[in-house]
Amino acid sequence: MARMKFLCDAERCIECNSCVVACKNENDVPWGVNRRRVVVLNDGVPGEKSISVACMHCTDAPCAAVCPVDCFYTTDEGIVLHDKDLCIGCGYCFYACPFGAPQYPEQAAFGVRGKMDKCTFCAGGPAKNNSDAEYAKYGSNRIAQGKLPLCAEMCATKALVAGDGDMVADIYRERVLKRGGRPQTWGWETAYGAQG
Amino acid sequence: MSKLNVLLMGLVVVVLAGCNQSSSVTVHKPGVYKGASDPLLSANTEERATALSERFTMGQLDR
Repeated sequence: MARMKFLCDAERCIECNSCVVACKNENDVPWGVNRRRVVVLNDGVPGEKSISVACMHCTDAPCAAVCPVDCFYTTDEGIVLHDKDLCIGCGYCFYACPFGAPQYPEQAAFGVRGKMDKCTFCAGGPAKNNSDAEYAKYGSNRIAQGKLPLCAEMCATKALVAGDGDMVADIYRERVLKRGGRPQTWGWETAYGAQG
Repeated sequence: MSKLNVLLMGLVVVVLAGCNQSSSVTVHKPGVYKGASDPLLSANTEERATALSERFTMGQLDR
C-alpha cells in the first residue's frame, strides 16, 4: 500500500506561491485561512531558502494524539483527515502540530474560533466522495478521482512533490546525487520519523 | 551540630528538592475516531493506488 507523503525541495523552490494559490482555488479555502504557505528561511541573507509548508500528514500525528474529541483519522494511504462535525475548535491540535498546519476561520464575533481547517492532501473528508457537502466542508477530493494534490501537480520547478513516499524519496535521492551537497528534507524527519 | 547548621542543611534540602525532575514521560495515544465514516476508506484501494502511481509518474518525475 502506497504511503502518501509531501516533500519540498528547498533547492528548487523559488517562492512563487503558486502552490498556495492552487490550493486556495482548488479547495475554495475561505479568506483568512491558508492550508499551505511558503516560508522563507534566512530571508534577505545570501543563500536564503524557501519551503512550501502545509499539513505533512505525519505517520504518528500529534494532532490526533491531543484531540479531546477524537475527530482525526488516518486513511489507508496515511492521509490524516478530520471530521468537522465533531471538531470543537479548541486549538489543541494547533499547539501540537510542528508545522502550524491547523487553521481556524473566524466564524463569530469577538474572534471566536471556528472549526479547524487544514490540508487534506486533496482527499476531502468523511462525506460522500466528491459531493457538494464534502466540497463545502473539506474541499476537493482529487484522491478519489485518482489525482494527486494540485499544489504539487502544478509546481513549475517540481520543488513540491506529493505521492507515494518511496517514489518521492527516489526522486529526491536522484536529485541529490546529481547536484551534490547534503540532502535537506525539511520536515521529513519530523513528520515521518528518522526511517522516513 | 549547631542549630544554624541544621537549619542550613534543611534549607539546602528544600532548595534542591525543587531541582528534581521526574524522568517518566507521559505518552498520549490517539483515541479511537468517533466521527462519521469516510467512503474513501471503503473504496478499492488497490485500484486507486495504481491510478495514483500512474498519475505520479505522468506528472511529477523530473524531465
